[in-house]
Amino acid sequence: MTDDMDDRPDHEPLDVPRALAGVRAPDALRQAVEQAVTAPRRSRRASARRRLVPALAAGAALLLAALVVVFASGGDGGGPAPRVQDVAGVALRPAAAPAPATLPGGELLDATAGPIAFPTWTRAGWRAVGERTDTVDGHELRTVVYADLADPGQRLGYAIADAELPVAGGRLVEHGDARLRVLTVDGAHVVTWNRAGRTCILAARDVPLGRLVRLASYAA
Amino acid sequence: MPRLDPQALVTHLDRLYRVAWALCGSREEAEDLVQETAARVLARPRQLRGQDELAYLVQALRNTFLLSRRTASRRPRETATLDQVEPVDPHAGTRPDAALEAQELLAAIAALPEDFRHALVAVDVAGLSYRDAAELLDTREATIASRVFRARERVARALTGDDAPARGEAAGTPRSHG
Repeated sequence: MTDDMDDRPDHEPLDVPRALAGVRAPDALRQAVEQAVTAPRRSRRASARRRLVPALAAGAALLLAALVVVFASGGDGGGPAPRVQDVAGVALRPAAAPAPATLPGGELLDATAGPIAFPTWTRAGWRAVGERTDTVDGHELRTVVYADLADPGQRLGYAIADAELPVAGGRLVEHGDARLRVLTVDGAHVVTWNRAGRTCILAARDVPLGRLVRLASYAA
Repeated sequence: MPRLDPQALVTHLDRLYRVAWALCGSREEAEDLVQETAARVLARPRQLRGQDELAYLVQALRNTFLLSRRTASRRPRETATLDQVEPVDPHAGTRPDAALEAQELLAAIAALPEDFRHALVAVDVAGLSYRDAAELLDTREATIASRVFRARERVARALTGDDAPARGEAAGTPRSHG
């Protein structure tokens, strides 16, 4: 490669900064970085509090220590949100309770996560067989487990978190009007999207990815 | 010696994301790269040795990129096979022109030979001065200027579909991976 400048441009000048000015970091990435930036500050404050403990009376020290433990463990619910990759396994767990009832009309279940109602997906060839609720790093996920009407051995989980969770990796897929991200976590297909300030996760081990994407596009 | 304010990661996030995309050629890999860079930068206090924050962060991102390229072959990718999904991207023809142009531009930059790519990314995407870019890439300012000039030409040709090599430039220069 030569680095001399004998050539003259054969094309219009290329204004790269202007052309890329509209490219912004995705919201999920911004959220993840902001949380990562904020977290160490909290840890430093917690450490500073711990250094004060010897100077305090025993009762106050115990109380402060308890506060520090709760604070450092994210017990205030304000710690960094887990990534979709970290919670996708929840959607693959077996149901812990019977399936929610079907509401009149047959399209929705009597189960919601915030403003989002879980679908029956009967017309898509699935039926709800159970549900469960889990808490991961202070975030609640409600999951409905579905079975394939034609092959009850095929299961999938549809989990909805109580907030938008950061996600990285995988591939973006646009299907119909839905903008989805698909990835593989521990060998399972995972499709995720955000709706109404919450992250929705559809996961299955033995269901073709295309079928999951189509289902997700109905719900997204 | 001044320390890096972690908040600089947020302040320069859009720019770092563009740099990452131009290096990787993929939005998804760019997100991973920025997150990994942030995690590395935040792992311990960082001292700015005469650099400004942006130059420091671009260097950290570039180092993380090079490291990831070296270890990529040893790490399984968590990426689904999209051949099973149809249609993959039915909106491809209806995206806003600007977004499509930006994607094409970033893809063209990512396809540049390494030396050209890193120079163009440092100057035109990250917005570093020629001096800072020369420090970052451990070369002379004149070399940076030359590489940026040639890189812009190559990208312009790629975007117009005229991929013939410029005068005095060897055809078929292989793209190397750091």
